Amino acid sequence: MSVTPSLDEAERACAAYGHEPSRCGFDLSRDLVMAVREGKHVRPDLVLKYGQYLLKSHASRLGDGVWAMYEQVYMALLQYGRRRKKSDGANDLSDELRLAGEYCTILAARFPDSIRVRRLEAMMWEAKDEFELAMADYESILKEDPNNLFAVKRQVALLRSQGKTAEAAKKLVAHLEVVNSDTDGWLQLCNLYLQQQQYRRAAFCMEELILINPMAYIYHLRYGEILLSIGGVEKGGNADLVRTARKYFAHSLDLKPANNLRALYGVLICCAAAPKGAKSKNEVEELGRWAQKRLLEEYGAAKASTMLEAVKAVSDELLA
Amino acid sequence: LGARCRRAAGQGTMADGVPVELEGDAYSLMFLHACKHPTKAVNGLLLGTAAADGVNVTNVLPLFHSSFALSPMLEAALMLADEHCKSSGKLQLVGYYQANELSDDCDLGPFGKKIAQKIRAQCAQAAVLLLDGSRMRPTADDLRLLSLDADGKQTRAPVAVRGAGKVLSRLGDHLKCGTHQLLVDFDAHLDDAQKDWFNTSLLK
Repeated sequence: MSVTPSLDEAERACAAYGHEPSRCGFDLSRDLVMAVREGKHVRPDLVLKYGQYLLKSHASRLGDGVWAMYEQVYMALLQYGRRRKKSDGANDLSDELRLAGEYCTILAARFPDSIRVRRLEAMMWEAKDEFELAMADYESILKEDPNNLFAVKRQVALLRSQGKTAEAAKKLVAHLEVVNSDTDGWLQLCNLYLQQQQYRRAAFCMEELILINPMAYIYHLRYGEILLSIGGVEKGGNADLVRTARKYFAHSLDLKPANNLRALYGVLICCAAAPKGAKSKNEVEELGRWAQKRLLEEYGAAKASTMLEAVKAVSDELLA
Repeated sequence: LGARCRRAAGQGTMADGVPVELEGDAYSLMFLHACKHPTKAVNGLLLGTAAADGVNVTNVLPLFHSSFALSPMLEAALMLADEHCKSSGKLQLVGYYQANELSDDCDLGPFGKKIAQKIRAQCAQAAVLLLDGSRMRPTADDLRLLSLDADGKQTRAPVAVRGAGKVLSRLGDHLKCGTHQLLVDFDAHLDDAQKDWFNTSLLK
């Protein structure tokens, strides 16, 4: 199996043929759809365009990969397609939803009794705004397979789309008590808590994530941002929180020294917020100047001249 | 669903608010930002000039499509925006825009309110615009923008776009050919210093 190109590479290759799937042909189209799938990008527009072409014109060439393709295009149809036909009969399905229904039937015929296909059917209820029916379908999947990750996540997503953030969080917590290595779950829970301004709980989620994977620079970074948000630079600041945040930003830079702008800005802001006349004043100033120098280096390397000037002015002001 | 936001606001008295006029590119950039991230909340800053009789928005700085709850990067963005205004000589920070995650949500939310109040503190007439996502096809008479005060309540302030007809048709073309995928907000810029969050050449 050859290595799938990145999404950018695949898009560029297709651009050479005017973004027209039939001119790009089987290989480039398949590469693009696989790049979206493997990179976990959210590009239903691309999946629809190229995936539908592949299914219409090259289904046999896909071999066993055709089933996964049906699934991927099915989900893109639900995500990106219209709900109703323009002629607005309330029960008229749009072309996209009808096509999705066809694909689902094909999959159900090939994989009868499959929980994975049942999940797809439940997603169709969601697309039609039949939330109760969808919830019930997911419940029945969970009765058979209580830890089915997909079903739990769809339920959480359903609750979120109805604006029931607190309930969604509760469900996610229950799930994470059983499967506490689910990093995506912890990240989602963190975001839910942030939405509800429950910063301490959000911080706890990041702590769990750091325990699961201490080498992920992005977890330390996010943790620093949360601490700094609590520490509230404007509210007169909580010096301890600011100092701890600074340490996490610095550690994030240890883990990822290049192209880590957020951590550099974070360090800068923490240094600026450190109380004047602190014992470690020189240390703080040194760190601040270092962060400034690194930022200017990054922008210099990126040849971003407008930003270079702006960042110099802003960081000078912060460190004054 | 679309009427819901307006009906809710109709109950009780609405403040008058200061009229807001947007340049075509500014309005387009806001919408392209929202269209690039259809499943997320997005926000950004409005730049231009403000006076007692009206606000004129000439530029837009798209900020985030990730959690609005975190303050450090927002602080950085506001300082950089300020600096950009200073060096331009004629631009001011004159407002804030937001598009919510759920299409029928017309609430500015706690974070939006904080940002709006901050901007109002520097510019009393600052415009606060919420993109009404319940139906995404704007027309010249209905630009899908709600004008709010800093507490998130709707105002009667008229919002207009210069040359709306032409702007809207160009916007449609941009969306068809995927221009919105090329838009860069501050979030994206923080992941790659080469990406230009001023979007200077996006709409050319």
